[in-house]
Amino acid sequence: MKKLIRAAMVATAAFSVMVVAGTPAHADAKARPLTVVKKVVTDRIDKRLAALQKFGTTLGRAEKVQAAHRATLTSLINDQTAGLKALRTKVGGETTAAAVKADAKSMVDDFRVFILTGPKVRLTAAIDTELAVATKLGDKADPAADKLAGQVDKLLAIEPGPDAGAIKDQVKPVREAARAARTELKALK
Amino acid sequence: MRRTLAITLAAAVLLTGGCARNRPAAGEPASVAPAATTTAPAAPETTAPKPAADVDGLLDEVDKQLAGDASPTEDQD
Repeated sequence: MKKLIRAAMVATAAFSVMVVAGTPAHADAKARPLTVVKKVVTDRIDKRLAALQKFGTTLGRAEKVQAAHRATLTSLINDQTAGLKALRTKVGGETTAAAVKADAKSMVDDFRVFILTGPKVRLTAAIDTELAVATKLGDKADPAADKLAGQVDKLLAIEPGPDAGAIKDQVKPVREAARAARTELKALK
Repeated sequence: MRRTLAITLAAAVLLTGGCARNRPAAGEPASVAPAATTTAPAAPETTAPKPAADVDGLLDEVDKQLAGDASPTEDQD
């Protein structure tokens, strides 16, 4: 009887080792059904569509955004919304995981909603508002206004792409200029 | 029987008295609390300048815009 129990324990242990060793950790992810993968990507697209809607609201509330900047940003938001909606439909019709993966890459690289479009809207609103403050403060605010000159154009010229680091590096000096100007203008008022 | 009637009458008096507590007395103006809450904000909007119209208001706007810019992204991008 003892032998039988020992044999059963050994067999169980051996089976467990076989199961664990034979199943790669990422097998679950790889074996996910196409419908699940499509839903994950669709949800991520929906997050971006919701964010774009929010950016539109932010832009609408920012009264001091200059007309040309507003037109550029409105067009950007509309184009990206249309593009992401088309991509959403495309994902729904995909029949292979590889195609969905390519769509997911396009969703990020071709739009850069979070690291580029968002900062474009928010920093443009901030900088144009700061320029309005500088105008109200008069000559004493000229140095601050000079530092802000051309920053929005530089920001709006940044294109989305696969290199997230390069995009962040281009946005960074504009963000820093906006923050420095805020401090400077607050000290002048 | 008489006791039951007395209790019923007392309860009725208390009830009607209690229910009428919120009713304004004759000549007294009706409660203005709800009207005040809806009309109060309208007055400053029409008489006071817009908050964004001055430097402080504009700088507050800048603060909000830059604070929003500092918040983390909602998804990997």
